[in-house]
Amino acid sequence: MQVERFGPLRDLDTGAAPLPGLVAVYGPNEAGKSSLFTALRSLLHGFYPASRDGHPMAPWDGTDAEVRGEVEAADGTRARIHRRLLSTPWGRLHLDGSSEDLRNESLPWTRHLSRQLYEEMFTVTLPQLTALQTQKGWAEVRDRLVTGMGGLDLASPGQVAEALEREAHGLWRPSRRGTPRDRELEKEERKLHKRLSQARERDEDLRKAARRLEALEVELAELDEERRNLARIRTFLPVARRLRRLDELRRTAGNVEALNDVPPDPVARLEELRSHVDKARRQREAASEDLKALEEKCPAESPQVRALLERKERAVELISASPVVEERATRLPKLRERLKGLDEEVEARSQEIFRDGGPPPEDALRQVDLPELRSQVTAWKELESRKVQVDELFAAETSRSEGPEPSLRPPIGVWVAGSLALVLLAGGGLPAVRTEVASLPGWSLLLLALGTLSGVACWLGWRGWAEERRDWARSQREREEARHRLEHRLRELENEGEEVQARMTALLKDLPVRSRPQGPDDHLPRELERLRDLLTEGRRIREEVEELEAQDARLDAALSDLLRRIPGLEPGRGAVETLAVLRERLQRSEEEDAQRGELLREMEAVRQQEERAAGEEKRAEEALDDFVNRLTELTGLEPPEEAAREAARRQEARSNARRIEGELKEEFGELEEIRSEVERALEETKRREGGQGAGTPSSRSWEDALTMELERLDRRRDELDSERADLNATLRPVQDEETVDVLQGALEAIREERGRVRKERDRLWLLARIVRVAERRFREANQPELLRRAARHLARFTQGRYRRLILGNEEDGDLLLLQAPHLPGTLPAEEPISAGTREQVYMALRLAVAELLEGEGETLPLILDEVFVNWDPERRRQGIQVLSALSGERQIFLFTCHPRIAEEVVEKGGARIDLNPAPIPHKNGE
Amino acid sequence: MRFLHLADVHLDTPFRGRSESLRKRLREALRQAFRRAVDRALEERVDAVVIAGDLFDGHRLSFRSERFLEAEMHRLCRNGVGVFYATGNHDPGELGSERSRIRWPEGVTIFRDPDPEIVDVTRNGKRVGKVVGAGHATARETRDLSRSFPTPDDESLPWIALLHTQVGGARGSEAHDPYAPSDLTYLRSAGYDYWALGHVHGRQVLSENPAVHYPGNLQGRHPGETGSKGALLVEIPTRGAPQSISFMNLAPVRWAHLRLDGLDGVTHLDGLVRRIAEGWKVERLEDPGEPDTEWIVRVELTGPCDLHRELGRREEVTTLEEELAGALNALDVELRADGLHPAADPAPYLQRQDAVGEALRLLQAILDGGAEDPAASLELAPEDLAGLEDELVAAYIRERVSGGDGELVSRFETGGEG
Repeated sequence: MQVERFGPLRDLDTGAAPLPGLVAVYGPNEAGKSSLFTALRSLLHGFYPASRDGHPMAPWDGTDAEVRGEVEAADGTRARIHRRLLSTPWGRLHLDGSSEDLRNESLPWTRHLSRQLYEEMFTVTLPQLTALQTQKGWAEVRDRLVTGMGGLDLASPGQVAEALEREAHGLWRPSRRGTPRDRELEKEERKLHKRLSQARERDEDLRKAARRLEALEVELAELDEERRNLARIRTFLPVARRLRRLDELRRTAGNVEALNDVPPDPVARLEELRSHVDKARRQREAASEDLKALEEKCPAESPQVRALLERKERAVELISASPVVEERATRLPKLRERLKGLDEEVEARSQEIFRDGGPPPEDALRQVDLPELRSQVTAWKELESRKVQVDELFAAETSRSEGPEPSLRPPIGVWVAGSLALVLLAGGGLPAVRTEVASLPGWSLLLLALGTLSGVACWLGWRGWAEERRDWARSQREREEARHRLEHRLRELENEGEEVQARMTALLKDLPVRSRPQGPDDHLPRELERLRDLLTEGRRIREEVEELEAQDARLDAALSDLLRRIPGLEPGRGAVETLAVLRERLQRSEEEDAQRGELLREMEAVRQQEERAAGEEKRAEEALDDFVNRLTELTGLEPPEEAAREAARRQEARSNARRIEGELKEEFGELEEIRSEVERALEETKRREGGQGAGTPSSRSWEDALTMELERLDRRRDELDSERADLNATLRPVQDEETVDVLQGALEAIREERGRVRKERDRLWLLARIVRVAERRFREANQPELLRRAARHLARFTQGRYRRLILGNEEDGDLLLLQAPHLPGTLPAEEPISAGTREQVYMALRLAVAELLEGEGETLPLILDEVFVNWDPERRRQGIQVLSALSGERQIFLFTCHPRIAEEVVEKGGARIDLNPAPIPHKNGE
Repeated sequence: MRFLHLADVHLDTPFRGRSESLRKRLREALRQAFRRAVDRALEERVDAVVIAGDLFDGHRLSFRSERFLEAEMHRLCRNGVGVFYATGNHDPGELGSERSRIRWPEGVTIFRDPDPEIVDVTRNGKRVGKVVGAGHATARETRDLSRSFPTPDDESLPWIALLHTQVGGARGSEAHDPYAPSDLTYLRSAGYDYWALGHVHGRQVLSENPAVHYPGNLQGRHPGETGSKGALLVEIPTRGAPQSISFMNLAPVRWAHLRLDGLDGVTHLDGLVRRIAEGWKVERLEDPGEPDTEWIVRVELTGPCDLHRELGRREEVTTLEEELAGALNALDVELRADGLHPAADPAPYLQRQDAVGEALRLLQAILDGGAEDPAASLELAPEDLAGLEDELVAAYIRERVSGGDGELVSRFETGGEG
């Protein structure tokens, strides 16, 4: 076996030679014993977990775990295996010169046992051995080693079966023990049955009550019908009496139709008619007397009044003009006076304005444009004013002082200074002709200086004179120019004035206006305007005077015409007076006519009153005659008073009959039907009384009997009502309680639940049975051979001290018993048997289990981990001896940290693999 | 003639809903469906309502149902609609003592005897058709009552045959006890315009011309009765004339059955709820029901599932059912997880040479029939089985332990507890 990398192991090589049957793997803790064990297992069955990331033995440095080995099967076949744990496991199997891909599969010789089972069954550890001492007993150990063949990965069959049975018993039990779910449901079902029975009884009660209610309703309906009939009969008894009364009244009334036109109270009516006749007669006579008195009082009508009243409208029309006439009479003289004054003023003004003094040309005057004229006059006056201003300016400019004119030659001083300068300069400059300037004498220099000064003075005087001469000339030129401008302006104004005068002349060309020496002025337009206004007013007043005079003429003609048609009426002086007379006569005529008209109307009213009274008297007499005749005809009685009283009696009878008939109809409908029903009711009454009733059927005694019967029915009805109320009160709460269908549903639900519970119980229980039966079968099939083999191993471990293993009876708890030659009987494999012996028993059983599991398959290596720690030296040596003997059949690896055990293995011919602790890796990789 | 054909109302069915409120709702749904049938009959102005048996579920009728039935029958008859009711196996004539308490109104004709009876159907006093009906005298009627039906004469009126029978070969007939059999060929040749049948709860058309119809029951009563339920509206103008037959959905509550497997990848209850909701959504795409339909859903889970252990606890299942009812917008959800088993694969254990392997092999032998007598193999007597009823013991045992291998493996792996 070569382990390149596996967990902490590096480059472990057991050598080229095959390892013997017994191999001790020695190493202290942390030396890698577990890693080697896993490597060995991986060599046989592959890597698990099957990925580098999840494998605990993947090297820490990130390299791949790798292991090689060579195996030899029982038939001598030898094969080489090479496995690496890459990201996924890799494996090759070299066999008979060929190589095949192994991936992560188990070797062909190990496949009769699963990896898991191999791990659990072919590895015996110290804890497993010591566990035997602490576990409950053989039964559990047996579950593990015998029934479960030692497997530790699963629950024991006993545990599973017990759990299933426990759950099954929670649902249903054949015995009465406990309260499984089914029993609870059964109790609930019984309760429901009881409630269902009660509900059915309630249903029955409900039915009976409902039927009784229906019967009650029927009885009540019949009773009500009976009561209605009796009430009707009782009602009909007084009706019968009223019918009889009706018949009597009708007989008294006689021919009812004949009474239709007779008033309600004939006696009163007779008196009333007679009173009407007297009253009408008295009224007629009074009216006749009044009429006579009025005729005497009323005067005859005057012709003048008649004529005046017939023309009243015309007269009123003329009279209404009186204020106008009076005003006109006042105004006309005033107008005439005013007109005269105007004419005089016009004449006076015309003579002033116009040349010939004649009447003004009115039309021409009207056509003059006075505003324009007024404007031209104003313009002319403005021009005149400007001309005066320009003249004044011109005169002022001409007369203005101009100052003295400067001399035409320079002043004398200038001439003197110039001459002096020339002299001085000449005198001083002569020496310079002969000598150098620098050498000129003083006096020469002085002369030159004075000559210079004189020259300067001459220049300054000249300059002053020249400037004064120049200023004077400029002033002259300016004055000349101003005069020229004023002259020109004056001529322009004169031209404009001429144009204005021309326009004014044109405006007045049709008027003979006097010329005015001072020229036109602003009075002329005003005078012309005044004259024109005077002419206009004169014409208006003249027209008004003419109109007023025409009106007076028309009024006079109308008054004359009116007065001519009224006899006895003379005109006054003038229209105003005539109108006053007319007004006075008209007023008087109206008053007279009104008094007469009033009397006539009164007479007419009295006359009509007299006629009405006569007519009324006649009608009253006729009505009285008719009524008396009708009464006489109706009753055959006389005098009229007697006939009237008889008629009144019949009428009263008819009225009462009608009232009774109306009441009956209102209460019961048609009279004939009432009569027939009453007759039937009376017959019914007679029948009910058996013809023995006192008096007639409509008598009071019959009515009393009916009343008593009705009272009896009322009492019965009250009883039924009470019973119905009781029933309803009984039913109402019952209806709210559980009903049959509700409970049946609940029962069905319970039954269904019970069925489900029972089926679930059966399922669990059947599964438990399957486990139990399977366990027993397996045990029975394998236990004898297992115990036989185990006993053989035990005898070898104990050097024959214990030779047999026996299973006790089930009643004894399936105890495992030991039998030994030195014992008379058997001993349970429990205390006080020593712990070591029990561990030997366990070892023997594990070996036997392994043998049985392998069956006919290849024998696989057995791995023991510190199993001899608790054994005494002698037994340990013996144990190793036994292992050595077994190693001929099966390779055994004994892992230990005790060097002595390793040595003993070697002593017994076994091999030894020493493992050393690997250095602890550091994070930095050192 | 225009009539409403309904059957198998099963009034007062003792529903097995798991809660009282659900049972109450189902009982009310049954009455509601019948009330809807009456409403529709009046709306459609039918001449008659024919009831082909099993109007009641048993011979006992609750007082409340009696009153309800009387009221509805009165409603029909008051409006001139004749009622023709032939008794069936659930309400045979011999059990009439309870029902004799019902005060049937004028206008209700009950066919109690096996001998057929001919009754006119009228509309405003005028005959519009004939109903020939026969009832069941006992709950175990074995004769073919259709054979005694008279041959219709040559009148122009349509002839309706009313019978509670199990037509041979009809779908669903195998689910019923062999009872009152009849033959479709004979029914077709009997000369009737319409055979109004009852007994089979699934709606089906056995023949279109002549018409032979099962309307199905009025309201589904258990998870096996899925699909829409109601009555048939039939119009036959004259004898031999083409018929108009339409189905009316009347059941307010519908049952549905949702089966799900392949749950081995589901490891949380939330995921399971999602899977079920998705499955339900797909299921309803094909048959969405009416807008006001209330659903009762049975969800059956099978196959390996990691949630097997959780779903074995009743409290867990109850909580999940409530959650599912909300998720599925259903009146109620019943979750059946019996068919689930651990995701662990039992196969490797079968090879083990130990008691586990032996138990699995024994279980396999029982299921495969290798163990001819499972009871003997398991050394038990029939009386040891609490839930055994009418089944054969072997079949019962096999049914119980079916799928148990996974559970056994799980229990062995986890220390025995379920």
